[in-house]
Amino acid sequence: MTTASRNEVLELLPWYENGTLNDAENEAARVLLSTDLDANRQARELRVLRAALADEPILATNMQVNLRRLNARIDPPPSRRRPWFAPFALAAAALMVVATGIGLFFAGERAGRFHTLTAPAELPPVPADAVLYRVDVAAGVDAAQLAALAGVPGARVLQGPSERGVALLAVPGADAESVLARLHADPRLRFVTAVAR
Amino acid sequence: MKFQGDRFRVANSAGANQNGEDLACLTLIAQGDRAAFERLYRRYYDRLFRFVLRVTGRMNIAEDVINDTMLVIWRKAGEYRAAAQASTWIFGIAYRKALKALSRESRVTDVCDEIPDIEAPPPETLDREGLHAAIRQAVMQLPPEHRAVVDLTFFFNRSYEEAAQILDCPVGTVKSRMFHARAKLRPLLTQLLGD
Repeated sequence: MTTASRNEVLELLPWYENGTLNDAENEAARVLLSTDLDANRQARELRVLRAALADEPILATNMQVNLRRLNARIDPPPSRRRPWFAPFALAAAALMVVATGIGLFFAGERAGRFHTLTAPAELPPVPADAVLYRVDVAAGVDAAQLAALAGVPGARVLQGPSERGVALLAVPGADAESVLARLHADPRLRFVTAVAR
Repeated sequence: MKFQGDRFRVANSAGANQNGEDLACLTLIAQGDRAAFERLYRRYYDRLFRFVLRVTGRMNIAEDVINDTMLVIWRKAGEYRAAAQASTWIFGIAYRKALKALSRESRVTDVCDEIPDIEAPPPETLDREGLHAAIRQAVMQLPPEHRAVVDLTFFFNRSYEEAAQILDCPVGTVKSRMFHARAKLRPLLTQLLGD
């Protein structure tokens, strides 16, 4: 046996010891061991190594707990799964919000301008020299009574009185001062002020 | 002398039976059979635990590696081809998962020379149990790849071809790793045996 082939057989000794060599390899190892002291020493070391590893105490592990953990990984809780239609429902909801917004925007346009007391709706035509008064009258005073209260022939109620008693009164410019004094003096009028045209 | 001829060995009847049961389990698992999966899990748990613990040396990693391995088996049982024994396929997955887990922990030592020389306790102070424990401790100081070869050979009685399949490397690499592992352990073994 050459040195090279001897080394090859020595390399195989671990598998000679565990009994997994094929017939030819097994025979070669057997022949070497029958004549080679160093090979015998190595084989003895390998037997001790093998015995030491086989002799290792069995470790206690909690297989059942670990299996439960694995099962949880395979079957994640169903509540965490989104239904297949979730993206569609989300898109539909977003679309509804946008459509409602657009609808409200155009509905506002159709309703016309928003009016306040200081920005009233368009008024009926009045003479160029007329003065406008915003008045707050007591409950029960109607437009005819209000016009009569002004006490001048050209006085005209343009709006109101509303449910809250607010009205717009036009009086000829020449009589404006006297009408204002008369209105201030009447207890049925709670508030009077001139309004810019 | 060359040993590159036909490497076929006839498996013993126990091994053949076990492989048959494993194959049956894998077929059922591929069809989504959870009972078969749990059966396989129970059959392999202790063996894989031992092997993964040997490779990683870390108890806290071992359980996760086993579950990572079995999860692959659950998902890919249908991809198993019976070119190798089922156990070889399973151990191969476990080995790769173990190395990946180790590299995540950044504690892999890849080069044999980086391992410090193994010191033996005085042989006269050791009984048989103590001697075996000292040897096992010395094995744990080898690199993970070398430990895997030693354990597959001496504990799991795998041939070098099976070890090569499990470790996904050439047969020559398996022999080389075994050579280096033996060289590293020899001073201890020689001293302990009193040669």
